[in-house]
Amino acid sequence: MTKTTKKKKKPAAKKPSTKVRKARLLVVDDEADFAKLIQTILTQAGYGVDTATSATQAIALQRKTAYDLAIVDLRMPEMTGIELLQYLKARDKAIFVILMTAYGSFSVGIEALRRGACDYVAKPFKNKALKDKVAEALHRRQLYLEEQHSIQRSSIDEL
Amino acid sequence: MPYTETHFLSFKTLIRIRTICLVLMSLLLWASEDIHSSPAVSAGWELLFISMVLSLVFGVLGKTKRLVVWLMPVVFIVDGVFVSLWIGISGGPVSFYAPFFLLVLVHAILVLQPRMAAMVTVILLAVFLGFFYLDYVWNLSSTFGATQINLVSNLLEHSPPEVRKAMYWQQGFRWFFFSVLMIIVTTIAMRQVWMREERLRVKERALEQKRHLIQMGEMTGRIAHGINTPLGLISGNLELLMGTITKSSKTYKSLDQINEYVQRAIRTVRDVLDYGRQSMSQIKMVSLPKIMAAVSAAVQPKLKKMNSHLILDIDPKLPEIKGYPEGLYQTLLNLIENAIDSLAKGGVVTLTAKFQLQSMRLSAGDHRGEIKIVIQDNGKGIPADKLSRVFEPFYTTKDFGKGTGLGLSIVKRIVDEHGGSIEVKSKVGTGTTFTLLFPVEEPRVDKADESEDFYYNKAEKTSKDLEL
Repeated sequence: MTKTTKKKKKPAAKKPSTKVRKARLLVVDDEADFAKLIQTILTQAGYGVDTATSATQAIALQRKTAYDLAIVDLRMPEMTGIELLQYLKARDKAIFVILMTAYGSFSVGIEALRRGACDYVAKPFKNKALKDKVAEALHRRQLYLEEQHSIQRSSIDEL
Repeated sequence: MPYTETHFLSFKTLIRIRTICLVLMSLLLWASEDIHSSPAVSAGWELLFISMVLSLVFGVLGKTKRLVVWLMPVVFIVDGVFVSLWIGISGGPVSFYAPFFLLVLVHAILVLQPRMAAMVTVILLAVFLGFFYLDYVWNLSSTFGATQINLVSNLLEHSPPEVRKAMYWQQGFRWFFFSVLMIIVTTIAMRQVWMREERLRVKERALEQKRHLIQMGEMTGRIAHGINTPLGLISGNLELLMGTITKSSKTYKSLDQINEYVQRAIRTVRDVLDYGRQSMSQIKMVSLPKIMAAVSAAVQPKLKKMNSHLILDIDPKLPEIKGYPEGLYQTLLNLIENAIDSLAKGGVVTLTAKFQLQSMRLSAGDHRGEIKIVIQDNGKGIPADKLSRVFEPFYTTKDFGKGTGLGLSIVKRIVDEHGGSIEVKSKVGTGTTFTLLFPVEEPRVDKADESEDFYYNKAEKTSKDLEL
């Protein structure tokens, strides 16, 4: 009982607060409760989080909002996490993706990184571990954007 | 094992062929009435009798008994001597018994390991030629009236001595080269067959293993997804919940306990998955000293905390073994961590690893051996009633919540998968000793070994010189 009320409260509290620039996150997991849980954890950490329970829903959401980071479950019915990752990346190069796997083997992680994910987390994880990973990913994205920017700058300067 | 079962000739078939041959021989012996009364014939009968008894012993014991393994070459030698003698009596290498000699040889090559077969062949050829020589010197064939059996001998009998001598040599050499050629050809042919079968078997095994692994991967994947998702949900929400309550409250304590149990469940699942994963990794040639070094490095912090010591005594020349590196690492880590956990402050764990030859060895060149790993601690020990249960899954002597109890059962399964064995001895107050044996399939490189022997011999010599 307490759990559900808590979860419902937090997303509601999140929506009106659009201060400076809040990182937009997308959580995709076919397990709706799990997606909600992550949403709660990350909303507490101060991010704007949307959830999707299927790959198609995730793609539809991406059309509306440009997300900074997606947290995608590896095993989903329609599309695997890696396929969705590639799809999302194809539409928006600047999106960073963290893969979640319930079968957290090292080789799955390597495979995810090779296919363009920036990190992976093994379920079940400690909440803090997830927050740390998200923070790190966003930091790396920032560095990446700055780098892209400076590259653009330099090419403009050359002209 | 000197006995190699080929696919097309089973052990039973071989025994049958042998028995038929023996019966045939005895019939021939019995039929040749004219040489019945000679002393050589009675010797022949005795040898035949021995041979038949041995054949019977074979059939009764089956191929697995150690006795059979050692008797096999002996039986072939007895057979060969018997046949040679018979050939000698019945008119030298030109006798129509001569093909039986080749039969024995081919039989030996088929059944025995190449090295053993070569040995038997050499002995039999020596015996065969020896009898031939005796026949030439003592003229056995004519003494025992074999002339009536064999036309060629008959012809020889009536030739002048010089011609006889020349013909015997000619016949002898012809037979000798014929036999050698036959042996070489058969050996090469059989080796080819063996190798092809071996390759096929290896391929089949690998395929089966792959199929098994895929199945296992699917299963563990499903289990992982099915268990880890709810566990993740529980632990995540728990943490959120615990973050909202003051730490001193009763609810928090209850939640904390729940959390502890959930974490334990998570650890158990992770242990099981780790095991599944190690079986899915590929078999490689593994260097144990390297793995041991990694384990030693991994337990250093724990040792420091406990103010204990780990003493390594590892033969750096340990041969590599076929296995799963992750699994072996886990095994050794688990055992050593357990040992450290049992120590009092300032205790000592010793890890010894040595190569030793297997107790049953067939020849000096056979380097089949095993690696013996001993992990010994002077910790608190395991009481006798618990000792027999340590390899059972979920059995733990550690405090509640400290260990999952899966460790040693996984260790045992990993060791079993490597074809090895694990034994434990323990005395309360004195400590615990785990002894692991891993077979080394690949023979050691002979050259290295020789040089080593050479070195040791030299060292021994010099030390002796010094003593003098």
